[in-house]
Amino acid sequence: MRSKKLFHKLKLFFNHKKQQEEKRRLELKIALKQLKEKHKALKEELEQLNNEEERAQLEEKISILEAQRRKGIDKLRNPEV
Amino acid sequence: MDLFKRFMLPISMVFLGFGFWAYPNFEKIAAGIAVFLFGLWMLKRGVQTLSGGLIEDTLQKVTRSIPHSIGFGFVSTTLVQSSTLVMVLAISFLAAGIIPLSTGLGVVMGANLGTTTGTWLVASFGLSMSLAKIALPLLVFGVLLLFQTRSAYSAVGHLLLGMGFLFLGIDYIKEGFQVLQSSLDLNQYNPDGFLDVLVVFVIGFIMTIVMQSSHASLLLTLSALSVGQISFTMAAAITVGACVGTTITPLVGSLGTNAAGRRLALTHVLFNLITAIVVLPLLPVALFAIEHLSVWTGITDPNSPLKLAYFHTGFSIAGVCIIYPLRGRLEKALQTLIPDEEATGSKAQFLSSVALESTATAIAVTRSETIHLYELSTGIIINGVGWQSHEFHQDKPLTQLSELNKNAIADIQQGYEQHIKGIYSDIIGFISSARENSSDIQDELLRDLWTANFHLIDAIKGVKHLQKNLQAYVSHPNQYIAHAYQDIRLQLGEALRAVEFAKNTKDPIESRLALDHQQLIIERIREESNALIENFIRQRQVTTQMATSLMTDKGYVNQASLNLLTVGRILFIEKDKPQTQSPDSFDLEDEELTAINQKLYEQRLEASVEENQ
Repeated sequence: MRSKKLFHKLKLFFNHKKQQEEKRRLELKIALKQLKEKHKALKEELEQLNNEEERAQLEEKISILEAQRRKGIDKLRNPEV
Repeated sequence: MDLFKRFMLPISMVFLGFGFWAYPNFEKIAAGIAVFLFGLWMLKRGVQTLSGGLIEDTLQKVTRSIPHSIGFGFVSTTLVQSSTLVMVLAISFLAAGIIPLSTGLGVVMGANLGTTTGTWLVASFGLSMSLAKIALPLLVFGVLLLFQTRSAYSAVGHLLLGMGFLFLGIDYIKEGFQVLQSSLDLNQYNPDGFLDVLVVFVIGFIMTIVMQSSHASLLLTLSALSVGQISFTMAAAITVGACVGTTITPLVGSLGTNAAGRRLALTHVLFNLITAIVVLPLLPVALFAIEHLSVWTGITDPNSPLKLAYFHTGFSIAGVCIIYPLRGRLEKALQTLIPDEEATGSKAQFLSSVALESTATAIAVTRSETIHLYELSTGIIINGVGWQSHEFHQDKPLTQLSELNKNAIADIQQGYEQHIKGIYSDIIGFISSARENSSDIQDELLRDLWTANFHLIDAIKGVKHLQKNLQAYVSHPNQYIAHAYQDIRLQLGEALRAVEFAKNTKDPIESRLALDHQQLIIERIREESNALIENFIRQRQVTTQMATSLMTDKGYVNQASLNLLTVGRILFIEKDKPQTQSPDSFDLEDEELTAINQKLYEQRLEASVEENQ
């Protein structure tokens, strides 16, 4: 396992394009995690809201985050698309 | 200044040509200086590329305290071996309002201390061993790396080449002085009194201005001292002259900046000049102290270059000791001496040619200037649709702001001509120049800023087009058309408020969400607007002429709102946050926004049916 990891790192070192892709993948993962946290926080906020207008606004924001997360996960799974 | 430069070039060439003809031995020293300066330039370029704007980024963050900024000035000058470059960066950042004068003052002190590291390196190693032997392999490896496509390798190549040329230059100068020793003895002009010291000081000063590098002057001085061509007193006076001379290039560069930039450049001059005024009369005492220090540290050679390194360091430390307690008073005096200029809307505030020295700095000042343009543009738009700027920026909902007085609507075209056009042209010209030397990533950032500027102007023009109809219909007796135009105003106002929110919010996810949410709303309004207008016509609620005007103006306001959101994304979402490093992964297309609106519509319809049952 250790040698496999080491070999992967060595391969990355010599392949600049792959290195960039890996960096971008990591950034995307971090960003998706942040979106997930925000999504969770907004959901909790929505449960405590009674004002109809404010609820509608929050629902819209939650829908945006869901669409963005879906898009990000697709990109992570299939970077070529 | 241009005239001076134009005359200086032929004069220098004639002078050098005569020098080569009259004193053939002088050729080697001059070539050494040329190679050394070229090495410095390569080294500077290598460090800048390798750090990828790290120096500039750090400078933006060292505003916490003076010790931090002194540390920054010291480390960055040591790395790039050019106090001029560090000062130019600091002047640009101060002029752009990114750092305060106190930080700039700290950088001045640090940069002065940083230049002494070069003296120590040359004095310790440069003159005692043959550097040409090390220089040759460095040049070979440097060229090999220079041609690599990977920018990091190419930057290391620049570094190695820089070091190679520096070493080669030092060796040439050293050899040149050894040859010159047999034909010319400068020691016969050894200064006796204070007046002689002053003359030598002026020579050091002029030498540094001509070569635009205190390092080159100090290298010449160290080499001459090491072979006994000049006395220690003479070397010390030249060093003081070089320290003052090195402040002139940033001072000249600062003339094109605003008052804040000029203040820092003057601080740099005053720092070294005041220190020189204190140190020069006390030179015999200082030299006496250094003689003792040298003996104490085991230096017995009367011409040891290390003694000059001691003196240079002592001079810089003395400067910090003199200026540090006076910094508060100095800041106040500079504020009085160079007061802030009255802000004029039609002139760029932060752009200056000096900022083009480093692309990262050029990006930072362009961003500041674009934010300035954004503030002016939004002011014109807000007044152009009949709101008062101060009232608009309060927390009150837009519907609760004062009623629109159509006579109070400001003329957008006039505002554009008077306040925007000049700055916009300056920014575009500046970006074009900055892109000449930019890396791929920097070029992308500059293109983003270009886009932000373009969208700002497009937004103003869009609002200008609908202004006439807005004035005619917003308080029209036909309540349908009046209401529709009130909605147009509100839509624009909400877009402006979303961008303001993004500007004032630190959390990039929150900022981005506010802008994306506004885009979703705009998309929904766009989808609904055709059906709404068609309904107006069918029900004969408005005339067809009113309907077509409304249709066109809705198009204008949608585009202007989207333009403003794009500006907000480029200017106010922090670039170093991961989410924004891959924003294209999250940008939603029109179809995706339509799908969200459709899903929300269905959910709400379902909920209302359930409620009715």
